[in-house]
Amino acid sequence: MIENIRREAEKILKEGVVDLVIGFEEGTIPLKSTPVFIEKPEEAQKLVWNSFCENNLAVYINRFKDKKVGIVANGCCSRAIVNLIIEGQIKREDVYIIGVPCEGMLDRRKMLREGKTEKDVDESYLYTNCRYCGHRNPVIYDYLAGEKLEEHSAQYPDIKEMESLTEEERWQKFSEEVNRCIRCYACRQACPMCYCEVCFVDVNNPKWLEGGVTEADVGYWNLGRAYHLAGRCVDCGACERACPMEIKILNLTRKLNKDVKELYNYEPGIDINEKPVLGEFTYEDKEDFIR
Amino acid sequence: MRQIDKEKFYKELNSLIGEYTVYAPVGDRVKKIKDTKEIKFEGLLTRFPAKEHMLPQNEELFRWNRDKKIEVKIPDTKAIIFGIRPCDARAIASLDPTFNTEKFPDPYYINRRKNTIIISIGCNNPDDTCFCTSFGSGPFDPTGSDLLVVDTGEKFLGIGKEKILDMFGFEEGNDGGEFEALKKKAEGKIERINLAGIKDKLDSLKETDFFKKISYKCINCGACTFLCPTCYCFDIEDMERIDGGKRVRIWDSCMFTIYTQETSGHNPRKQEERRMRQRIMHKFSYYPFLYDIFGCVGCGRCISYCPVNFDIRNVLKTIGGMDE
Amino acid sequence: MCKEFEPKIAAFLCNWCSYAGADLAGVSRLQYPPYTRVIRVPCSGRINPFYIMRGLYEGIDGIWVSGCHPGDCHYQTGNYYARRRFALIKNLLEFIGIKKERIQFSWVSASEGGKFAEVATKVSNEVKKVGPVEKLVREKRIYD
Repeated sequence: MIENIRREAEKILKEGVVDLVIGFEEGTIPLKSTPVFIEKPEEAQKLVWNSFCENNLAVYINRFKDKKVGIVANGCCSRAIVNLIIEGQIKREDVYIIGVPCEGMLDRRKMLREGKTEKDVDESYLYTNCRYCGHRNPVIYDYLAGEKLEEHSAQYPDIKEMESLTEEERWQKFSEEVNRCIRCYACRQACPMCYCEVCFVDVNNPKWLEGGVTEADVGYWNLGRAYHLAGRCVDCGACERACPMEIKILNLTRKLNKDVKELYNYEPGIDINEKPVLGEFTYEDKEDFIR
Repeated sequence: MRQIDKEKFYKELNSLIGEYTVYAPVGDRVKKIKDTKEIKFEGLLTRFPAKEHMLPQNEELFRWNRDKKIEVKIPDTKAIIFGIRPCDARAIASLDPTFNTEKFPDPYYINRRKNTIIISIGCNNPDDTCFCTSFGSGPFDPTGSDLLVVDTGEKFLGIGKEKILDMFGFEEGNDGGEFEALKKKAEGKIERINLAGIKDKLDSLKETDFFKKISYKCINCGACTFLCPTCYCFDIEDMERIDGGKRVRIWDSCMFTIYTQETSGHNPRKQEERRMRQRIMHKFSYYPFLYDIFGCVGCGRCISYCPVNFDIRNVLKTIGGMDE
Repeated sequence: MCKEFEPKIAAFLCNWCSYAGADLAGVSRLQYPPYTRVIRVPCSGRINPFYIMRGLYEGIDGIWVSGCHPGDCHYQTGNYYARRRFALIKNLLEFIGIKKERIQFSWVSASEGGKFAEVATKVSNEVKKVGPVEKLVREKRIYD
């Protein structure tokens, strides 16, 4: 499959279909692949695809507004691209998508802590959202670089388990995680759907949150960001992977994804013609919680 | 070479808790401890540098009540920071010229610095992201520490101020060349990047395409600045409540897009490459120009924790390899 | 000397239905606990879920949002959009451990003065029972 990716990238650069290809290359630290931006056809040999390509490359597309961009996209990355098109941030014709069926990314920090190397690549280290992924094949592409994988529907056993705990246990779990937050905003920057010019925490009028790292501030920062992604989050996990304090942000975003799926039967980033879930309504929406 | 049994050292440190506030590594952060049993070294470096005790993330400057009476809070508790690495200690020393200036001395930082004893521990086993030797330092460099201890298994060897060595009861002794042997072994594991002439080369680069291309992959997240032991940018905020208010200093990052946003709406560093250029110039050109030391200590945290693996070592090597 | 706990409840009422309903309850001299403080908004669709989060952040013990019945919105569809938002924010805050009694919703029309008083009483009693809000509340005072 990697040969197909390289060949296609070289081809579209040579033929001038795109000005730039965004993909992954070998990283400089163990068990890591790093984003690379290829402008010359001969550089296409740098591209790799392995279980450590954990970033979501769709965050970079809007940096190159004046260029035509090619991108190596797996399932969640292609969903992010569909979402950006639905929300009017990019045009379909400005992106050339090299689709890559993906078997999931491995938790490199967990592997390094246990002293594992590349030889110990094993399913047991899959990230939570990759293990229960519902879209391993890209949902939109101009060229498919490998054979499609079998799809299962997205599951949420991790969220179901947390829902079954008592209120105090859930609070413990939440506050334990969120208290480590240092408000570096790596999660927001790594997320392709967080493209607001001025984020709600940076707005001064009204000032939603204060600047400190008290439990209330970091709690509502994480909740607020998760809420703003309701019905838009493609479950790529880039936020949790970018977090330097390894906070389980996915507990919040996946809970909202599960709710949106169960309440409104909607999965973001699948169909380019659908409207965002909070921009629509049906007469039959659930209202059993309203007196 | 002064030395002491490790157990005796920890016992002495334990007895100082109370008179001093003692901070030590507990897992991945440097925390306040109530007993030396809580000390836990996890890996080489703590995730968070010890700068959070010199320059807290959320520091109250002063407060006022509804009668407009202002109360300034200058910290004055005595503290000991134990168990940080020599690079972290050097980083705290590198903050001195910025905060302890003649014209604008910062009383909060200066008081904390004056009242803190820094005891660093040498690195017997450096990480592969370390590059402290590139700055003329090393894994057993006592610069910036009041006392450097080296773990030889049973004992701590000690290099530092006489007063501190006596306080703990270090004795004279012969280490049998062990210090030199450990030092050589550790230094051999660290990559040394050639930084000769880097300032001039950077100055001549100006705003060429170079910075644009290297900053493509940076997502401007700010993780590197928050985990960097030498970074010190801050913002000042007022917190108003019903009975008064307080002015606090909170951490900020030059990598945030709105860092240089002006009230008029103009932002001189709106593009990513300008912010990346600023960061590299600050650490390797402006800081050496102002204070003769680099604004980087080679701890490697930015390399290990960058979500997209932006590697400052490659950038330095590329610049170093350019002709002037 | 222990005073009985009196909760602070912020009631966001839509101008055309719920606020009018509250007015009718007042004119009809219907009694309900005095803990609700009313904030009038043009439509329940105006409610940014952050108002709920911000209220809890500042230490308000309960937030109650009330709007027109579905199909009767003065602006046709405002409350339909709001319905989706409310469901998601309620689920999220309940999931992380904030008591579900703190966030309440209702549809009260302009002629339902009685229902308004009834819901106000229910909400006040429920919030009073769960006590003052403690989770994720910012420091309320500078000088304790």
